[in-house]
Amino acid sequence: MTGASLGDVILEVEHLETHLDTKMGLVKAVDGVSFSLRRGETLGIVGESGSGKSMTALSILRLAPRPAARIVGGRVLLDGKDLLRHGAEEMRRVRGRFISMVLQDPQTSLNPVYTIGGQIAEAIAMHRDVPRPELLSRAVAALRRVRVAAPEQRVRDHPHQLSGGMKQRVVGAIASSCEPRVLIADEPTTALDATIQAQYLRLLKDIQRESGLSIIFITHDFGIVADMCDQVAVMYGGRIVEYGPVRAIFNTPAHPYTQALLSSVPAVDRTVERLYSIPGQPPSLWDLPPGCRFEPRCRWAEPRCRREYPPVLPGRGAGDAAHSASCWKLEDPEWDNPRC
Amino acid sequence: MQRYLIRRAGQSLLALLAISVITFGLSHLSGSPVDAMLPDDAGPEEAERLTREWGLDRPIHVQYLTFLGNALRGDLGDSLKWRGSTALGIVAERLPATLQLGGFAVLVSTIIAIPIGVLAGVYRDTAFDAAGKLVALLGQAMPNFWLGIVLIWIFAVKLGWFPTSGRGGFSHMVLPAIAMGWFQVAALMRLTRSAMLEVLDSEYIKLARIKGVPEWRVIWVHALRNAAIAPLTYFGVIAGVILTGSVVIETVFAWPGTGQLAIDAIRGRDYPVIQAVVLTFAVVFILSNLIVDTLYAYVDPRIRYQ
Repeated sequence: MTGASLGDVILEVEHLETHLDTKMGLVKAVDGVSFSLRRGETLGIVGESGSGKSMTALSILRLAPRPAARIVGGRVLLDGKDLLRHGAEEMRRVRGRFISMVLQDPQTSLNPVYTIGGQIAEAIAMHRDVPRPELLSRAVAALRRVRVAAPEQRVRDHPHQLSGGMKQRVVGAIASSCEPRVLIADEPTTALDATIQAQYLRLLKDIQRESGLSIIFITHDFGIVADMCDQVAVMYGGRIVEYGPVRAIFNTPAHPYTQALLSSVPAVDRTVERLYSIPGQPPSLWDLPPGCRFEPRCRWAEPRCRREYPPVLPGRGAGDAAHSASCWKLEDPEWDNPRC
Repeated sequence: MQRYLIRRAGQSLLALLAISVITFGLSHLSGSPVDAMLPDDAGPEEAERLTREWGLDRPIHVQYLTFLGNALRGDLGDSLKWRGSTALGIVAERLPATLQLGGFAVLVSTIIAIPIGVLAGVYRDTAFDAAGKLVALLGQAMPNFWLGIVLIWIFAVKLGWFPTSGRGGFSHMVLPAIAMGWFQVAALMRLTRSAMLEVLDSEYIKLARIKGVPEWRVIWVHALRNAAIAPLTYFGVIAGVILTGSVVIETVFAWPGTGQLAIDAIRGRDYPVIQAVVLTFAVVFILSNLIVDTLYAYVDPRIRYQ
């Protein structure tokens, strides 16, 4: 979908903060994350493991693992209403109906002791007033929508009788059964074979085109980002370090971390001796420096990076106002930010 | 499903056969019944006559095959102590009392243990969880005969709330069932709790919540059926513990069941009756396990297709 035909803002996340109590101490897993999502838009959230991507997603649904995780600040506005102020029952009615989610590992996402049909039917029964006998035919229809062959037979199967790709389609059927406005896809294809992966992504896109669904796509695969996303948020150490349209992110990455990430993506049109890898380790989240979290690994680092966290500055995405990044270097008009 | 059940039934038959060999062997290790039966002043001819009459002079494998053949026809011989009764007849007469007490103990333990185990898992590391752990620890630390005596002393002798012993109405069952069942409560509760902890952490529970399933349904429908698999397996073990426990508990509470009968029969070297008790216990135990395996397949569809 191109930027021009995007609709109104559906979901707005403002300064979301989620803290985790761990044995090692307090972890600011999500530390002031903000973004907005429009109707029919796909936002990619990119980052390493532990950068806070999944925790952001779970916090939106208020399903971050308790009692360890607590949302301590911010707002999550769905059609202008703050989900963080919802009561338990009100929030339950949002889940699956307005915001839904597909998890990473299809092998463990389905309940092993119930039938496929039962699990889809339950998702529908939670939000729609459908008479019992009709539920199963709705489940069949949901399976057909995600292009599962012979859905009438499949509804009677148990999860262990299905392949991984098929299971992920079933999870997709469950997630989309109540026609939600927002679908969060948390690395939905990481556990799938490359060919199955491509099919699944196409399926998501088709569902999106038919229903005007907005998607938050969590991944660490830039290939998928290029394929699927309109907007991209790059996360590092619990914060969004760069945010902008997909084209700007790829063509003129503003943050050194994004530049480094893009440089470590293998490309078919380049021959390299060794793939670039970012030196150093991802930051330990319970001992964050006051300044930029990427500073210890950054080739452009200077003393103030260590002292003070950089403000959000406009990026250089060819006049695109929506492109921004948190890096002191952007204050310097002379700084040319090449790929590594 | 059918193949699974047929295979399990076949295994049960094999187990029964093995048990018949062990029973036969054990009762011969405990000394000759002839010595127990004869009065002190009887001569060696007298002993020899009885030995021949009971076939104890024949080769051991012939004795076993005779025993097995008779057993298959339901004939385990006549009691040596209770003249005029068949061994199996005496056991059959006493079995309902044992099954009643054992069944009651299992039922009550289950009704108490499963919900507490589930809630202890859901509210882990809270005061409720700690209290549950304490109950479990007590149950596993106290030997059942000692618990039985203490219960009688407090609730029957001192407080007079329950009868001290014997079989009668519901009130007669309470104390022996507690003495028998507390250990099971402890074991079941801990199994359920740890299974719940594991299941509640799983991705399919996360997906159930994502679907908008209310929390009570997530716990009692989605999580419990998965968490039930571990404690269910344990029910097979419980059947054994209850049966062996009955030997002790029925003696402490003078409960006229098979357990008490077993003690009497052993004291009198009434080995047809001993054999009948052991074989009956074995059949009950194996049947319980067969039922557990069937339920297991019902609860967990993955088993059905093995």
